[in-house]
Amino acid sequence: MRPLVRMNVQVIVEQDGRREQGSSGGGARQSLEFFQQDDRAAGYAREAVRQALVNLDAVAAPAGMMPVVLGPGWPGVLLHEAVGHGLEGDFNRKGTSAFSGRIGEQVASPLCTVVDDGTLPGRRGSLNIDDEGTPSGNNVLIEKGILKGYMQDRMNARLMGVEPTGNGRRESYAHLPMPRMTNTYMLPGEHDPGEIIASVEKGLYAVNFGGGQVDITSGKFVFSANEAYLIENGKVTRPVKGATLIGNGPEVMTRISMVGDDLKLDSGVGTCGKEGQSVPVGVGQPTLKIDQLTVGGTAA
Amino acid sequence: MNEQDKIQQLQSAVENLLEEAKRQGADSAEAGVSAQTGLSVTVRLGETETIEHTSDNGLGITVFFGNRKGSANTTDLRPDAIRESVAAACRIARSASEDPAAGLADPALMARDIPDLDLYHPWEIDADGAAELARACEEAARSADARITNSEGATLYTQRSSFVYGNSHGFVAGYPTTRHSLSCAVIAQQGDDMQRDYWYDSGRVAGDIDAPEHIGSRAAERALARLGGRKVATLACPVLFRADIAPSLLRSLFGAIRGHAVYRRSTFLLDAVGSQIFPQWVTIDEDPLRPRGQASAPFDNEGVATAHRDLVADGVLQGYLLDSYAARKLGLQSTASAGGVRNASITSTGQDFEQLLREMDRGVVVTELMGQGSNLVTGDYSRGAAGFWVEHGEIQYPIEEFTVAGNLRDMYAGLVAVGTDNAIPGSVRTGSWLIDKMTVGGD
Repeated sequence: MRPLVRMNVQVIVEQDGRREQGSSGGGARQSLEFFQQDDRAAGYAREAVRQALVNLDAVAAPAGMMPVVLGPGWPGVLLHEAVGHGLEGDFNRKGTSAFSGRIGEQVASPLCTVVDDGTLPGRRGSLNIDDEGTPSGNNVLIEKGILKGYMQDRMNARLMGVEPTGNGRRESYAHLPMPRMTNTYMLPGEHDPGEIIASVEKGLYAVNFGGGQVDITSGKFVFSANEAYLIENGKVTRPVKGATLIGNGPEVMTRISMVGDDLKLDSGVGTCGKEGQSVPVGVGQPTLKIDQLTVGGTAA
Repeated sequence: MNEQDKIQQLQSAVENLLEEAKRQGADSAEAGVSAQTGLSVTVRLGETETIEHTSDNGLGITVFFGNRKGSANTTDLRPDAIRESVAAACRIARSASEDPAAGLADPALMARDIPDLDLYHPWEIDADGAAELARACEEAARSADARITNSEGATLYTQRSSFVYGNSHGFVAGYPTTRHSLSCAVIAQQGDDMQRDYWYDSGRVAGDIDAPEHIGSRAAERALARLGGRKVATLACPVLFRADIAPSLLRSLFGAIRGHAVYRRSTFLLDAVGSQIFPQWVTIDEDPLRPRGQASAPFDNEGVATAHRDLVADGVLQGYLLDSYAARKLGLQSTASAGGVRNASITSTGQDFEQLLREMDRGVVVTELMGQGSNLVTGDYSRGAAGFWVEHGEIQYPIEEFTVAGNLRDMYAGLVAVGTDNAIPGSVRTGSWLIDKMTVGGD
């Protein structure tokens, strides 16, 4: 048995003819009672309303390169897009990933240790065994910035002469298995989150995201903020409209200059699409600072 | 079994379903049944990589007890499974709350004549034959240039489907369709720079699909053109959305005029019917009855007869996309839009791609869009992009890792020209879009 529940709340708020939305939700490998525990369902609703109200006050986001601080938890979608997909075994067996042939190389700043862990109890991306019967594992992808390994299903592992890693997943019986992520997250660092924000003179603080996308081959990835703020003189100031952030995975990872001590996993909402197959996944990260990233606002 | 017999068989399955729903106490019901077979063959680096044969059945039943609604789906078409699905839908309906907008579409709108839209042209091809075409396609891409160093392969896909829909107004109808496609994705490399691109063609008739060699060499050309991509400075300038990605701007429009977004007040085009949202020269039409069309259908997902309509005429929004539920919520009539827009096209201003570049003079061509940064509640638009930098009306060099941002309302109003360069097969026909000004986020 592999239960899975998910709840999503989307709200629209309106003031003086201006409408904005907010959304929130969560899920786990649990039964529906999960949403009644700890006031979760109502909590999602409150969070969605809070986010929508923040957006009612949002001004145009800036455009261009600037320091970006990402909040903890769901912003870990950065790791999913910037490195996760590029480390899936099929792309690396074929040599089509920006990370192909780079095991043992420095691909991220030494502050970064990234794992894909399917063994976390009850998480949305967790599996006892993968869809080919291989026990899922806690696989280190990047350790202190050094690329350690890829995520494998059986076929690609065999073709590459390595062991399967418990990442062989399929949407359903009607789909072929392929290497997929489970719960992908970055281990905590040493900085206080407040200290990270205080270190930025002018930049963006992004705390909530929609989805993302990556071009495995060029390494270019995007993810879209739906709650973000300006940082001015080390302080979080005005909320800004959602903006897409774009970067090059291997490059951006080397620009991570501060990692917080506040690791958080997402609330259990992630769905990853690849070659037409959707599977539930988790992400997580502590607060982290990227020295330079392109922000796609309208305020040039 | 031939296709007519298959449709007959599915029709009696739908009739049995509706009968069963009545027997179990439903006041009304609707059901859709589909059966599909397909073959997909991928060749990579000259070797056959995967061969997939598919055979799928699907059945969906919706029952109404007064205004209470329940639905269930199954992939098992045997009588026991059907009875159990109907029972499951009935259980849900009995415990659902009353919803005055729930129900079947208006019986007066049901399709009466079911025209043959020429959608069924099976391709008698086996795995070996498919592999041969895919190999020729990939080979053309790989031999196009020494810088094509790797490949994700070429895939030939062919599918035949039969679909029947019925409801307790006495409407039961269905038709078979086919769809075939050939696609190819390759990687161009120069030093450390690695770029992937693809090309494809698809159609209802195998003979309508472009030659494998053309598809392959086009994929190679596109990947090669991306090599040496530079960054662009942050600026405000005109943006030309190339024809192969321009349909996404029309899809945003369709998302914003969906009845469900309108009654939830979650669209930037709320109350925009009758107002000027595009320049006056713009007409956008929907043509569901186009012969061989990729989204053609004689009736929508509720049995409502489809017909040609203008969604935008002289720049003015003519109406929303309504299924019966959204129509009742808004006090309007269904526009046969259950299941989405079927074959759309937009007027062109007559320039080809080169003429559009000259008209733009200086700006950005967007050839790829990434991410989901299109907010249909506010119209705010911010997407990752790749493309070309244009100066003096000519492409100068490829650019990458930038964003294009604006608001869809301004983008639609600021549409300067639509080219004659219809690029891709599919249900949305458009040339490249030249938009007067957007913010480009780069260095």
